[in-house]
Amino acid sequence: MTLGLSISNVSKTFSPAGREPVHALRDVSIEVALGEFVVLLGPSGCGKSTLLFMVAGLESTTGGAIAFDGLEVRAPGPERSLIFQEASLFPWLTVRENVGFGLSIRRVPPGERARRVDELLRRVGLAGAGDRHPSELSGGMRQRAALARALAMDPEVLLMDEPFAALDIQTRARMQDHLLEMWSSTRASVLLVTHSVEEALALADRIVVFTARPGRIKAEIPITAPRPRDPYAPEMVELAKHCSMLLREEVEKSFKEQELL
Amino acid sequence: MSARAAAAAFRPAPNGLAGAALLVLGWEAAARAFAGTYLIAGPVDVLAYLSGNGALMARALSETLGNAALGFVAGNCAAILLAAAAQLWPRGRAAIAGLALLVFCLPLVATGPILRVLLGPGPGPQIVLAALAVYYTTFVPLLVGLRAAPASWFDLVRSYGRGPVTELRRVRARAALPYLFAGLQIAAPAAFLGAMVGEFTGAERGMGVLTVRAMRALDVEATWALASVAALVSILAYAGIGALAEMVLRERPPVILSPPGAAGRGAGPARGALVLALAVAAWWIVLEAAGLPTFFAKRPDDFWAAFVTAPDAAAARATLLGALAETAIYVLPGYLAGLLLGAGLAIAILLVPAAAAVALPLAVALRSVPIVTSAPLLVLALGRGAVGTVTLVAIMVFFPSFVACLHGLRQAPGQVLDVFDSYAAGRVARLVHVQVPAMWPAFFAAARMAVPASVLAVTVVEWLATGQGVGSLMALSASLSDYDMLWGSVVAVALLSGAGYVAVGAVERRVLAVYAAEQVAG
Repeated sequence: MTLGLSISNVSKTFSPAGREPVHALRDVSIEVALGEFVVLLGPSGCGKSTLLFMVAGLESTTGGAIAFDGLEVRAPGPERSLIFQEASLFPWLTVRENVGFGLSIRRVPPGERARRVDELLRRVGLAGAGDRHPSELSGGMRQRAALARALAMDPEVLLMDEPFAALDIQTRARMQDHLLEMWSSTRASVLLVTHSVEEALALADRIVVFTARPGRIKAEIPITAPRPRDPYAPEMVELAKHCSMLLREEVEKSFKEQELL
Repeated sequence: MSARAAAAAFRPAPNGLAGAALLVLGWEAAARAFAGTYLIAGPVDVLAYLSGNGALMARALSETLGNAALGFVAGNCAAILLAAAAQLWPRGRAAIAGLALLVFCLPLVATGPILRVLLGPGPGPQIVLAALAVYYTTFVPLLVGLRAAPASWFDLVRSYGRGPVTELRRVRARAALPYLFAGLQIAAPAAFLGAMVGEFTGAERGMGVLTVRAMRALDVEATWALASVAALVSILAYAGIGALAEMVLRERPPVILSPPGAAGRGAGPARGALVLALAVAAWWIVLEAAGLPTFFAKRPDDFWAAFVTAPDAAAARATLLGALAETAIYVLPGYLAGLLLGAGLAIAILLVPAAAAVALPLAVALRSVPIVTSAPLLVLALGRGAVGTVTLVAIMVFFPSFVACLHGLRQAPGQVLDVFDSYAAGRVARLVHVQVPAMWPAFFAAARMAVPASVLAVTVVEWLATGQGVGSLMALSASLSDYDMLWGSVVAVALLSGAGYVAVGAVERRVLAVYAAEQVAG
């Protein structure tokens, strides 16, 4: 039995009624060790978000298997927490209620819930914002609240679907630092989807580069440099060039395919 | 935008007060100008009448309000249950929505006397009619509201291992609240109207009874006083629910309450046939289960016999179709005139923004006036001929069309408007190329919902006053106990207004496919 997340030979084909089936993913295998930070990098439409949703148990596989700590994933579970591209907070709930939403659905008693939520708000730096509503927060604060909501389930894997794509560049960099802080204090594994090379390089222990559709693994790039990383250090610049080249080949391929359609 | 500003959109702005003051002044002026013609009683006369007959009016009002309130609660509960069922059972959605539409198209004036025989004297029919008048305008926005949420909210609930029921309870129900409130706001005056129509058809007490009496006696002061009280009560109910929404909600109220996809995809012939079959089955089952005698509770086969197989079926058919044709001649011009006037005035007013600031809150409030209660006034003023009927239908359609179009025009995307400004394009160019196209979804949503409303208006005025068309045929059949003809007219009118609704929906889909593809994709 392997500990952590194991994705073996997973494929996904969408078969919409009356149309050509779409092969989204083909034969993808990834092992994510406990506490490891893995970034899935690929052009849009390569199926990386689909893979994330399959790991979350929200989407079924059409081939292969996904297992966590040796048990096959068939449904959502508290050990895997999902964070969306938009923060997806409920506008009618306060930040505190949003962060505690999953706990309340899981019938954690109010006292215990309040204690955990306060602790989480403090950790993500929102201690003073608990009684505000999402519309009164900045984009970065909203995404912190979403992070707190995901951490509330005490996950062993955080599944993040382009979590910072909607933020401006400065906020994005701060949120990446913040995420690394949170990650190092929980030691949960992270599986994060992005199409930004800079983001991948700043965060990952290992970058998995996807091909254009159908998504397959094109390359795996381990990064050993200690964090925080200097993006202008010579070895990081080399890595960035390499990743960009790999990504550009695939982006061009998917553009060509679109123009043929 | 702050939550406060968002919620404020539920209530008419203070500008509305200026508009209302103008309206009252104009009313008094008109009354003075036409003094001696026995047409208009001005605000002063109305107040004088009310101070003299306060006790009578208060008794009638409390009776009608009580029935309207019960109907309001029952109808809206039914709407909530139906919408929840349609949400949890997606395959049944089209059938539920189709049946709900057909029942909404039942002509209240004819359903009234039938309910009267079925339920006996007392408030039963008024309450049922009030419920029938409100449930659809709550049901349709709820169907939309229950789905008006980003997919990730539902993914989140599923990621906690919960299914559709938790999703409905914790997310959809709350996301639909602004839609529910918008529906309730329209429902409050409609319930009052339903209760009054119920009283027109043979109750002992209530505002409707007084209205019929005042009209028969050509009592101008009483007629105007009754219509004024009904209008005031409706505006207060509308404003009250708006205030409640403002306290509860943080969101902006939705603009389009019934987008074309709301009731399920397209209206294919197969779906139509299914809905009709279900309706016939339900009709038969309900009457059989209640064990009602066939003398007055006609079954589908009685209907078939009376209009197809009986020896005098041809004559019955001719009578019914003749009456329907007469009614259609009044409905169509009134309906079209009301729609076009509404859209036209909305567009005109947009060119003079200061006018819009006064007119919109006023129109929103006036939309809540149960127009049918003013039917006797129009008959007094315009006579029992075609002009009065067509005008009433036009007014009934005008207000929702005007309000929807103004809202729609303001939905024009700011960035596109900025592009036009950067080319120094004039107001007219902005209007033609940006704002009018942005108006179409709201315009058609109003046009669709106005079909049953205009049929209601025309049948009420025919019933009460003109002695023509299917409304009068229903009144006649009810008083002669000709239940075959009464049920027959109910079926015919329901089918006709259902067909009109579907036809407008078909035009709407064609237009929106060009101008607002996202509305049709639902």
